[in-house]
Amino acid sequence: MKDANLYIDGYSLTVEHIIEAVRGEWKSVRLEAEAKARCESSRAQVSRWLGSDAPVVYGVNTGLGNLKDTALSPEEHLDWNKTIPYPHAVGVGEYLNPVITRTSMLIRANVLSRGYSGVRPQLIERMLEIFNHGIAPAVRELGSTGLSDLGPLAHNAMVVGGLEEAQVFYKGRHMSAQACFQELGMEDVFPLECKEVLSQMNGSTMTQAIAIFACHNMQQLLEIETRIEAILNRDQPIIIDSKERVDMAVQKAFEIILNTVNFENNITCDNPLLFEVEDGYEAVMGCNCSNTQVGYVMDLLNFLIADKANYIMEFINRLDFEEGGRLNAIREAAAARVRLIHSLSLPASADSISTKANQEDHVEFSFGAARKALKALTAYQSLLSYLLAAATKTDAVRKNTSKVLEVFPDLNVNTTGSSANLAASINHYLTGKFDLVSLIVKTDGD
Amino acid sequence: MSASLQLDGSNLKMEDMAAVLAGKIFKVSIVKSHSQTSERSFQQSDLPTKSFGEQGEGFLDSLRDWVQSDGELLPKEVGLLSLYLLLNHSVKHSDVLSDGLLQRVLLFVNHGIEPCLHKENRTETSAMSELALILYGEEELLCYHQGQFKAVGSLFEELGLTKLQYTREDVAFITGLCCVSTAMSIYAAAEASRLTKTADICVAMQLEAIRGETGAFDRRLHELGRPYNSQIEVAENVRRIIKDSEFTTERGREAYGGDNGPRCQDAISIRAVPQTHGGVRDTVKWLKEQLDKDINDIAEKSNPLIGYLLDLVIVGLIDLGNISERRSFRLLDSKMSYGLPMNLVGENPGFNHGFPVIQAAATAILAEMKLLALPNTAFSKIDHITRKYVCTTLESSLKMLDAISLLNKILGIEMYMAAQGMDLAKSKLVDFEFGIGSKEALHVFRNFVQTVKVNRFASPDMVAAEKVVTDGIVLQAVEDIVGNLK
Repeated sequence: MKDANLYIDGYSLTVEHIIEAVRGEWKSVRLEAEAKARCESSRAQVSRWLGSDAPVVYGVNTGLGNLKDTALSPEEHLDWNKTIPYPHAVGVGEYLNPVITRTSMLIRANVLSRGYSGVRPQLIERMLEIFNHGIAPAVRELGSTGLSDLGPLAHNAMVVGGLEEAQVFYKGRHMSAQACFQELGMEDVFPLECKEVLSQMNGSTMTQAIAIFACHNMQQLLEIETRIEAILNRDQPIIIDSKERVDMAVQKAFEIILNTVNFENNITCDNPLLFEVEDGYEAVMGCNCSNTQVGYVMDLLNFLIADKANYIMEFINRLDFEEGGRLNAIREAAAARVRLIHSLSLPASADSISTKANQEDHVEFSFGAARKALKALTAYQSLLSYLLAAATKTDAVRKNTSKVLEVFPDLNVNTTGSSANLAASINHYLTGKFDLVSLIVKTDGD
Repeated sequence: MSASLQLDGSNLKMEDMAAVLAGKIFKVSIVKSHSQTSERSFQQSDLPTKSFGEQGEGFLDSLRDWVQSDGELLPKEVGLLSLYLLLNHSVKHSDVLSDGLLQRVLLFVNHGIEPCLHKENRTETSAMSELALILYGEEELLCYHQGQFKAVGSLFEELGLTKLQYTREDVAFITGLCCVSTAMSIYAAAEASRLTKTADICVAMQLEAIRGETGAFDRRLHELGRPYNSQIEVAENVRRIIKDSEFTTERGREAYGGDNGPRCQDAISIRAVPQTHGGVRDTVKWLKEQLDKDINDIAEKSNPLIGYLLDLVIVGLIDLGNISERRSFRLLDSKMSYGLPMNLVGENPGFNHGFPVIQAAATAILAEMKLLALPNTAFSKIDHITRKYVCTTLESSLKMLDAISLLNKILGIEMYMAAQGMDLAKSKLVDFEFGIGSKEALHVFRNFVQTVKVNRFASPDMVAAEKVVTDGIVLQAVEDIVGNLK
């Protein structure tokens, strides 16, 4: 695949494509020709609205707030777009994992390529260029309700525009976006034109990026679990009541989650949208930035992990029993992870708090739901590491190290030392081997 | 003449279940399947059978161990739905079951006898044991038949029935099945659908009251922009209900004079209705799609997937409460309602208090609803003693009943306040017309709750408004005018 390009058109992007693109399994990601033509066509209408005798079209040629009834000139839009991301770019706490923010750039490029947003194809190509180079906006983790990830996506818009204060992560370095672009021979500044900031910020694309990795991690962890069970069951199967039924239920429920996340990849979520009418386009205001279903399915994912965790714990209990209590430290540490997973199952989507002086009076908290799902998956990964540690210890005691190595041939850990450190080493191994993504990655100097 | 239904173990439909819920009594017959599972035995089944060392009364005593006949009852339809599911599943295993059992269940469904199960039987085994005891003829248990509750003893006497002779297999079979949680889920999914449609009606009434902007319901935003079917359906429902409305137009807004210039967009709780109500509908849809499969493949011992989906529907219903409560809230404030009187006071403000405390009740009930959000699934476990998986699906379905009951009240308050807002708007624009569905909604609602002009005991009005929602009275009236809502 390395020699082929992945083309996006706004209608066909899947979790699988995204993961492949992030891993560099495609040469690059490009805008598909028909999608480009669609964007050019709707953009031409925006240009007409920017003409001197055009009507006032809210959200297109106007400002916001007090300026909402005033038509702005193309030059005024350019000026405005140099500062309007700043007050939207809220964020505190740790930096989100750069893999996530970089991915949000790709997802958003795909959304815009549907053509309803009326942005220039060059904007989409700029976003893809940033993605293809492996550049990730530096975005702090807290501050988004998920009814539009305005804060995180304003950071993205700053990077795309090459605003002076925009920051990125590139190959593990935390640096200014402009410096990064210069180093790579890219345009350091990309002037954002009319409608191009709002079209990047409106919608919940950072939530979507987190949801993508929640799905990816879940798929990988289910695979890891299957492999560990193969080790445990090789000589004498460990039969646990109803396990097959729960596995099947989790699999079916996960299909709903994956279908929903895939569907949400290919929607339009900004405002206003341009729809073709007889003599050009009409701009229509709506609220497709509400990604209700994504918040719900991220909460659902947490429920599934909660049920799964019981079974992993039962395996560990059985192993400990067989070993006459020698695995007690593993058992207790694992049980704490099970409790963490259970405590994380409180749904984020059942809450909503009115914001923005009651104008945004219902929010999804889907961003929180997705973050929490990813945290629960990280706890689940840790739990599986303890299970594999238990299997490894048992193996070692029985002087039969081949079982684990048959399934995980490149697992190279010290089985004689501390159980907790063994689990930690296994956890690192799984992260690398299966490309598991956590919400936060601590980097030097942050 | 009643419709007939021939069950073969694989042909039960959700429409049939909906018809039973609506009170229809089918003439049911069964076709025994040829490919029977005569190899299987249910003797190894769950706990109750363990104590079945002897024939006869021994079975019954162990069933009785599991059944509490005290406290509140489940909705009576649940017992009858459970029997349909039991019958449909029994057909597939009729070679190991006694003919008496099948004939007894058939007799119950054909007479429309609804076993009344007690809420306190909070595990599937307990609930199914109660069902089994009712079929047997346990005298002090209850059924609902021909419009009244009857003790099983007197019902059997009335119908000339004798006590059922169970075999060991019969009892093991019944108590190992998940009929009650499946029936509860069918009931709850139907209730959830009623609530999602009712919420769409509340929004339409709200739009009339605040002369709302309808662009957010534009077909293209949904069909082209974010084409979830559920979202498309909600926007369509609202458009159909407000069809021909003169209030929700620029002309209506200008004439009323509550806006400064053209209305750009309404607040999120109104303009995000297709997306949010649509998301809630999807949770219900996912549950129904799974139930559609499960009704012909009833699970033995545990049905975790239904539990996960029920837990998620509860989240969705709470979210429907979230957004409804915020819409009610907006009606209290003249600025947010674009010029309706402060607190929706009918006349003489200051002396008359209006709706602030009524609205605060919706907030309080919402907080109560949020306490239901913690998923029961998080408490499923593997029992330390028996090493069996403890499935929580029935418990999720019981909690869902609470969620439904609370949401009825929250939507009742929204409808009560939106109706008041409509009357107040109409009093200023007497020559303007409401949409065809919203006009009917107001008209019918006023048969139960009058416009509030002076200080009046709030609680009876709130209870009446809740009943209008719970019984689907306004929903039915609106559907009679605009056709079935999606």
